[in-house]
Amino acid sequence: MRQTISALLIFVCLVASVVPAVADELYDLRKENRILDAEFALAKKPSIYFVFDLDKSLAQFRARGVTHRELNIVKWSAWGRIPTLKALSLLRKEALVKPTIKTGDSIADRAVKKDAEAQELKDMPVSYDLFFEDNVVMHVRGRMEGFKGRIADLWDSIYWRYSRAIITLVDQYRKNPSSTYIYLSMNPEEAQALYWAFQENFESFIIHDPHR
Amino acid sequence: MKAIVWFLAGIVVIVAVLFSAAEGIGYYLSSSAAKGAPRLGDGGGDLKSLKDKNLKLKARVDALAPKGVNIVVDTARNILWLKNGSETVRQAVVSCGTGKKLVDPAGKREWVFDTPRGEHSVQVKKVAPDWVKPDWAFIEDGEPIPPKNSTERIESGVLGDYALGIGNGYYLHGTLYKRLLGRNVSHGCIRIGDEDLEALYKNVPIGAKVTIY
Repeated sequence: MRQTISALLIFVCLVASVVPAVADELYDLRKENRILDAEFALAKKPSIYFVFDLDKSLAQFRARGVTHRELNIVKWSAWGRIPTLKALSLLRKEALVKPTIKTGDSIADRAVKKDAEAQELKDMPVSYDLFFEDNVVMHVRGRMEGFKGRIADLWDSIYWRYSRAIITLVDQYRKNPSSTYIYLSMNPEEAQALYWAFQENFESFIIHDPHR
Repeated sequence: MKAIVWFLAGIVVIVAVLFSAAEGIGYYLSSSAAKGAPRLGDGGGDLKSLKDKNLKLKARVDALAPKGVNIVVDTARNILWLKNGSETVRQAVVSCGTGKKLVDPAGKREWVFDTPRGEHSVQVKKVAPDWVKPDWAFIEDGEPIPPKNSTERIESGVLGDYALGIGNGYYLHGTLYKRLLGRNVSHGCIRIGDEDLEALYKNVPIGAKVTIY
């Protein structure tokens, strides 16, 4: 009798430990399936696309399923509706200090003049907003070091907390379709690289699973 | 004086309370919106069929990756990689577009000298290429624009020993200004040093993919 009860208990324990593991595996497989679907939809097109994997804190430049550059997201937070895992076009980029497209003039010694006129990575803004389809807004900020960085962090934290909260309230009041706000803090050079490479009408998808 | 200080302090406290309330309500609303959303891993399917599906999808994505010799260019860092599949065979410092804009003073035309991002392929390979100067080259130099097929448009020796065309007038070619390699100084073409250009010419076949980001 005692042996039967022990065997039964062991069986129940085994079932109890296996069932959640299977459920977890199923969940991960479905998630992987959705990510692969989104990837395939973009990878079959002959263009560059961007993947923001918030769960792994990575931003990737990809083409044909191949990652060409990977940028680290130092810190991120998301507010509002969870972004759907689907292709999102970049509608526009907005920066407080936009890089100006320098207008050329007639010059004899092109090489010498161009030295001063080239628009390079260092001319790109470190802090900017990316506006996507489907009411997704991404605020990217290059993380500065030292006192200046701490002040900027404090300002961003205050601005982010209150502006998102007030916008959410206004959206609710006006019955606007709900939006997604994502804040990314990156190394300044990598924030500039993202601004440089991510052009309007380029597509991307965002991986964010707050339930995991 | 004391009254003013108390008044200002009161205003600061009221504003802080109002903002905190807004933040709290906004956070509550946004988190309830998040709670109602479907989870990424929700849905149907059993373990075996999902595993099969994912394997097939992975294989379909992997099959899209360029096979054989291909070129990848990072226009921000001015680096070119010659690849065989995913393996890097050679790395070169290049010069990509300036992003500068040129406006035609006579008309409504304008040009932005950007290297075109995206996926392209090598369409033509040339030895000792001549440069057929487009209209913007004359406008930039403040010279009158000659007719389309004029010999005045042809300039020899400025594109290096080889050129690989990727369409729409864009080439990977040599340069006279080698000290500017590594900087964004071109009109949209990709300028390459002599040795690297020769390696590209010898190893890259027509039809090879060129990925530019």
